[in-house]
Amino acid sequence: MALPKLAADEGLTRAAVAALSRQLGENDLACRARVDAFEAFERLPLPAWRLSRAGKRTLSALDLSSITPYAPQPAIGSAPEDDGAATCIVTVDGEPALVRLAGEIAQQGAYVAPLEQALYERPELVRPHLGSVVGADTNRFSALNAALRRGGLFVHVPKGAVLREPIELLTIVEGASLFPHLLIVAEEHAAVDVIERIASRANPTERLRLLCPVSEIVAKAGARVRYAALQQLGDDVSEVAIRRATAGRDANVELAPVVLGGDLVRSDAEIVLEGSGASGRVREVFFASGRAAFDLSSSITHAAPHSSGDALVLGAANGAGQAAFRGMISILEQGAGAESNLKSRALLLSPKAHVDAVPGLEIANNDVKAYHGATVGEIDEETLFFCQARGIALDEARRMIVTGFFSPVVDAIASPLAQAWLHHAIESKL
Amino acid sequence: MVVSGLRVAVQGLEILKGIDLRVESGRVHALMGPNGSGKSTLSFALTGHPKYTVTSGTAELDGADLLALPAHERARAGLFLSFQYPAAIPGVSVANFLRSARTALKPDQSLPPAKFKRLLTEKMELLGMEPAMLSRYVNDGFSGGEKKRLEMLQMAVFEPRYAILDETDSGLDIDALRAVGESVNALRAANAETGLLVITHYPRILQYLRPDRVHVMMEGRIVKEGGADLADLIERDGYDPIREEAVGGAA
Ligand SMILES: Nc1ncnc2c1ncn2[C@@H]1O[C@H](COP(=O)(O)OP(=O)(O)OP(=O)(O)O)[C@@H](O)[C@H]1O
Ligand SMILES: [Mg+2]
Repeated sequence: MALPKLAADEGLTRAAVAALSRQLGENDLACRARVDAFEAFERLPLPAWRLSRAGKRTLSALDLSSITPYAPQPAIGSAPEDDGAATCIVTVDGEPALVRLAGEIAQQGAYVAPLEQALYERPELVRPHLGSVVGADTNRFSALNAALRRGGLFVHVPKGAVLREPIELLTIVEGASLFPHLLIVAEEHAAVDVIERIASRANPTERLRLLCPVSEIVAKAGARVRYAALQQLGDDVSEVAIRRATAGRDANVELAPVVLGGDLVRSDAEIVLEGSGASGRVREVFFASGRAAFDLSSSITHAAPHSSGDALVLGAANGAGQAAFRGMISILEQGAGAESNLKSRALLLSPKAHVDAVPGLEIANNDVKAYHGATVGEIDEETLFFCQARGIALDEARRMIVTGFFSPVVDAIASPLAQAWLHHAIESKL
Repeated sequence: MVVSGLRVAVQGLEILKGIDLRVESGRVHALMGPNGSGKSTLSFALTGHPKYTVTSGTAELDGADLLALPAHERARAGLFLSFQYPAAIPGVSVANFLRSARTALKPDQSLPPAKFKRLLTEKMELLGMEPAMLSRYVNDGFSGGEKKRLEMLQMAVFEPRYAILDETDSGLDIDALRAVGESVNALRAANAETGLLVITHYPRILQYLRPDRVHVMMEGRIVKEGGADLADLIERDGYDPIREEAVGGAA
């Protein structure tokens, strides 16, 4: 599916949207939906950028008109070496470069495929859920994603099926901006772990690259879904991510957004507990270094009785990095008996680094238990000295303390491979 | 270890006003003195805590100029401090910490993991510690007694040439005190050269570690020195007689 090279001045236009649809071989209906989404994008306001010391480092500084909206040439064949046996999908600029399915996928009757292939092969499975959790009109960027959607993955796990090995997805941004869409559907009592790694390669075009992923998770009654998104983009890519999950009766969802790289990054994650007895966990990590500016939010919304929520956010900022983190627990009127807690801790590792932590509570029912707490501080000097007094040099002591600080989230990631990758990624920022 | 004329200030305030102290290798020295007299300040100044500024004086460790070294190199030179209030390192397991620290302290004596594990288990048994402690985070949520035992485990594993025990005995129950005493004595039996400076308020620990010399600190000065019986005297009469003697001597 080679796409014609877009002229530089085509940029982000309605014509580019239609051209993408044509190249993907879509029908008129699908093309119309993209163009409608593009019009919504043009109409919707820019989401607020909530950093207290942003200066000029804001989303509005992104010149969207200058992006290359999709890669002109598929980059097939440039997938990284990989000889494991687990389910692994690699996409480069939205094109599948490796699709390997473990035996258990077929054995369990599950279906895993790049989204475009899934829409072609199994529209009856995909269509009812696509856009059901994150509608195209959620905000300006969900609309842009719907207009320029390319790449991503569809995972369907049928009733009662339990996948033992995590599904690994590697999303690589290379020649252009990218608008991937991940959709995970776990039917009743199904279980699945998905671990996505997001990285970028050197920019051959020198134009602004934006990664704008949308991830939707549907966990039906009794299902268990864990999804970790480990982002380590280069500092020449900006990201606006929207990830949202709904949990049915007694379902259990865990979202782990990990933001380590990128230039300007906005990440919004939400778990909506829709069924009674549903539980949601957020395990979030961020590390803003260099000049990076992150605007992050995670929410757990209790929309049913006896649901439980638990969010832990661990962050650090280094160099002139800055981040704002908003954690929100909302308990709706129908959320009687809800229990929820949210904790965030952030470490400032340099005098210029800055973190705003703003926990929020919205409670519309009295019969609930909710707790939130946020701390921002430096590495404890006495802990540093303790390590030094045991022969450990200052740099090594800092590395050890920071690694330890993140370990409650890192050690809980489902795949040892991803854990090791994350450890390495964090250490490389110190 | 030889300390001469050591003056130390904290935030511009002079706490130690000229300390002369010689800790012989292979010997046990007790350092006693009322609260706030400067005992911990001496420990921190010798081990290189950044908040404690040495304004004059010298400290030598087997000929090496201790004060010229950064903190981690003082430890590598063989000086160990058992902290009065050990810090916690959340997220770092005891096993990993001990391994990293031992590698830093003894880079040329690396042990294969199985051997290191065996060394740990053996020393922990002596200290009455559960092996499960190895996977807990360093001092995170530890009881006071557990922290002190972990300090002693580190001392046993690192085998320093000189060790300062800053109130390692306080807050320990009778059994823990005996375990600590036995562990330190086992270390001394294996490393006859180890010199100890035991800071304490209680003679009980000194029944396990008979001091060769007792030094008494008051208001940032060593005001009296003697043999083991000096500790018993202090237990019986308190510090007043020594204080009066010191004031009288000064007058
Ligand atoms: N980091 C510090 N900041 C401010 N003051 C300090 C600091 N460290 C020590 N001091 C002061 O120095 C004096 C001596 O304190 P130090 O802790 O050395 O006493 P100590 O002899 O160990 O007492 P204790 O028996 O209670 O442990 C005290 O007045 C104390 O308040
Ligand atoms: Mg003290």
